[in-house]
Amino acid sequence: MNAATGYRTLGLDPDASWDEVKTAFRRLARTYHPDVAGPRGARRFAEITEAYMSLKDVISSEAQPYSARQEEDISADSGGQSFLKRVWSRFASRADARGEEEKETAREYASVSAARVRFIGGAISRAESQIAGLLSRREEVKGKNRTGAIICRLRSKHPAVVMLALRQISYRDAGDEIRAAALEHFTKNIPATEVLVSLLSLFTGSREARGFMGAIASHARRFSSSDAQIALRWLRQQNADKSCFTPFLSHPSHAVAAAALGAWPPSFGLPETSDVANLLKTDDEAALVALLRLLRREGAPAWTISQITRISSEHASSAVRVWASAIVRDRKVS
Amino acid sequence: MAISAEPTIGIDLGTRYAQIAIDRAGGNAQIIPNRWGGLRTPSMVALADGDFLTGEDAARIALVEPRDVWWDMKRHLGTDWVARTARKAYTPEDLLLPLLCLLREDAEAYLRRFVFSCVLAVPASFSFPERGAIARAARRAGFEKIRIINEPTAAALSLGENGRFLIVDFGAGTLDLSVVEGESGVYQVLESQGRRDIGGFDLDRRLAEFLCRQIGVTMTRAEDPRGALMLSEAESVKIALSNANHLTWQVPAGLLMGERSLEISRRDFESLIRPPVEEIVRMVERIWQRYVPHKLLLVGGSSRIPLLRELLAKRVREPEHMRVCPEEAVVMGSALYANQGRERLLIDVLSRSLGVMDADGRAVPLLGRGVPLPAEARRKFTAHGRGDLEVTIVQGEGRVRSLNRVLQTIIIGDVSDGETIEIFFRVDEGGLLHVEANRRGGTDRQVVSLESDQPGGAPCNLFSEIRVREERLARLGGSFRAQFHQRVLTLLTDIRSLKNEDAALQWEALETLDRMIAEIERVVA
Repeated sequence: MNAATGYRTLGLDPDASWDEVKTAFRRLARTYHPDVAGPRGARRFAEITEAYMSLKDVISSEAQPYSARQEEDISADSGGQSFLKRVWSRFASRADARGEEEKETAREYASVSAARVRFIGGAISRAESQIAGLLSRREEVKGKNRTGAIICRLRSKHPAVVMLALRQISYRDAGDEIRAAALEHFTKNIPATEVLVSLLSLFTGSREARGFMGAIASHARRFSSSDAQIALRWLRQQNADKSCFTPFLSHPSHAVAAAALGAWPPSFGLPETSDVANLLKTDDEAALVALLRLLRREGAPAWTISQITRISSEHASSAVRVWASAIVRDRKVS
Repeated sequence: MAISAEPTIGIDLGTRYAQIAIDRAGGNAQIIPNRWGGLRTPSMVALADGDFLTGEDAARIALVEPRDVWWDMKRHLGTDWVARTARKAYTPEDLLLPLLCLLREDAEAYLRRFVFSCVLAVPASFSFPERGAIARAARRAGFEKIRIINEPTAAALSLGENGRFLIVDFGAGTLDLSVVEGESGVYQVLESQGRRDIGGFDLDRRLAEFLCRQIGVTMTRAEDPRGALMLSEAESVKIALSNANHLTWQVPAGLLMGERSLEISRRDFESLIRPPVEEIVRMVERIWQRYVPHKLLLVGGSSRIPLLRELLAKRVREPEHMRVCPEEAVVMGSALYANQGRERLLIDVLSRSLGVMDADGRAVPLLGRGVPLPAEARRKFTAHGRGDLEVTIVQGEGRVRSLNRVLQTIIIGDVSDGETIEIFFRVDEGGLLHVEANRRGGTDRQVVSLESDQPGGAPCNLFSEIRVREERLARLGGSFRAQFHQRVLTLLTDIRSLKNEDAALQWEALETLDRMIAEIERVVA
């Protein structure tokens, strides 16, 4: 681009100063820069850039270490051509040496039967179909971009980010991968109440629910008292196994043990002997009442009777005494 | 206050500290606090029990077990430096990944939205492969839209004034200079240059050595935990001496050898750091004389050093008083750049020309130094012979081979005589370079993107893997290629298009290719 065209492109008179050129360039850039005009402006921006650069070479008073001019047309540029010749002469010499080899190969190849050609064709087609399969799989991956973003955030250690991801999940179409990532997060971290509640609703009625129940059971003793009760309610609704309830009986808070006993389904029978023995030793009213109710429903084993008899006469809480004496009475009747 | 539909955060991933900011609508950038409540996060990554720890967590570990803690990954980007541990080696890119994840998560927790796009500020000295590498790390960290901006340029944007400025960004690991001209909301960069061998950390190291000598501590092993403690002590002494003439340094318990405290004066410190500071002043002087700006601006944590300000005021010009905190200028500017094109428009330039290398090793520029970005250039080559055409892309304008940096070599296989090949360069708005080689009027395209071609840490270096297999195919002989040439080329192009995908997918494609080549070799060889 010569200077005259440059001035025209920027809408300037041919006697414009360098400062005017810069201002004109910036004014036009404000309209046509791809960040303002989007891709549509790219072509026009390239034009004004070129005009600016050509004028810069001619009239700029700024110190310009820039010296290499851009050639518009390479064929008109002798330097460019000689460069090309040099590059190609390098390869030409290499190619000549190879020419002989290739003739040799060609002679050999002519003697090769058409069957070989077919074989090679077959090998290539097999590869082609496999690669086509890979490409289509990539398209699938792209469709799952959102899922990927959610899974990425579920792996985070930052509870707020995990919560953000859980909020983004639409529970109806949450996929197995998301549940798997959520489960992984859950097994590694004791979640905050908010996260726990989201996770519970994410896994409700899903195929991975069993795995999730197992993870809850393994965390059981480390939940806060209120979280443990939320988890217990959910386990009851989901008809979880006895093994999921058992760990809650030894939770540090007796309120949790009481809740677990209260939610104890009739089909489970009695809790483990050690749990019953430990709970009988406690002094907590709620836990004892829940345990005694359960023992009465399921039938108290013989080894508990002496202790229950003592509780029925000695315990401070009247509710505990009433339930304990009920068991003792039942025993006498039978 | 309304947040734009898709939040874009600005990231200043410094050598020592990282910061993130967001530009709320209305050119009002704001720093985002991290999960520890601070406004800046140590750019540290530590490995503990096979798990990455980052930020403050890593900084705490650094004082106890400095061996598996890294923080200067950024200076190593683009080199073959690796962090070796007992089990694995990590590239700078691998180590930047957890850090970028951390920053993204902090932004997400603060904004309560997913963040997919960012503006990453990088030192002006970063070449295209390094920019590509950091963009790739950001992509792996969950960002989908990434723009790269030069650190001093970002600082200029955060100032938003008219006139010509020289911005000196003196950080912990890098020194960057930019000359920017502002005119009614358009900021045009005239020149950007930077060095990666001068930084505030080097001053810390000098001071730490001095302190060690003074209290009689000798470090015998490189991974001596006292080294890290010494450096962090030196850093705080340095910062304190910016605002005090004298300081009584209480020797920490771990370093006690006798002396309980030490008197340090600013003059002691200044005599230690004078040589590097003098060099910076000389650099500033040179560029000042060339452009004669109106104002001199100092940003970056190390710019607070009084000696630097003093020497600059004496020899160049009194540095301008800044409205923004010098440490925050870069991240604020990056956040503002996210809304580029609304109130403010920044036009960056190519800092070193891009071209191809000719047979004598000289650079033939296609895109000249100083050309406003985004820019593109194309150039046609006509083949004078047969064989493989090797195109070497270089950056730099030196006539001397050693001054030009080779970015990449593209091999265009099996070119016939008289064939036209067009090399197409494009530096996009995001600050990344794309190179394409079109042959035969654009029917067969070989796209080379620097961002994805050098996966560095990625487990699969797809392009070079393909190149190896191309060579194997080439050895099969010319007549074979003549017959199946087009099909094989299409296949290779398809595989190349997997460049941004999972490494597992790439390996699968390569295995397929291997099987095919093995079968062919059986019958041809």
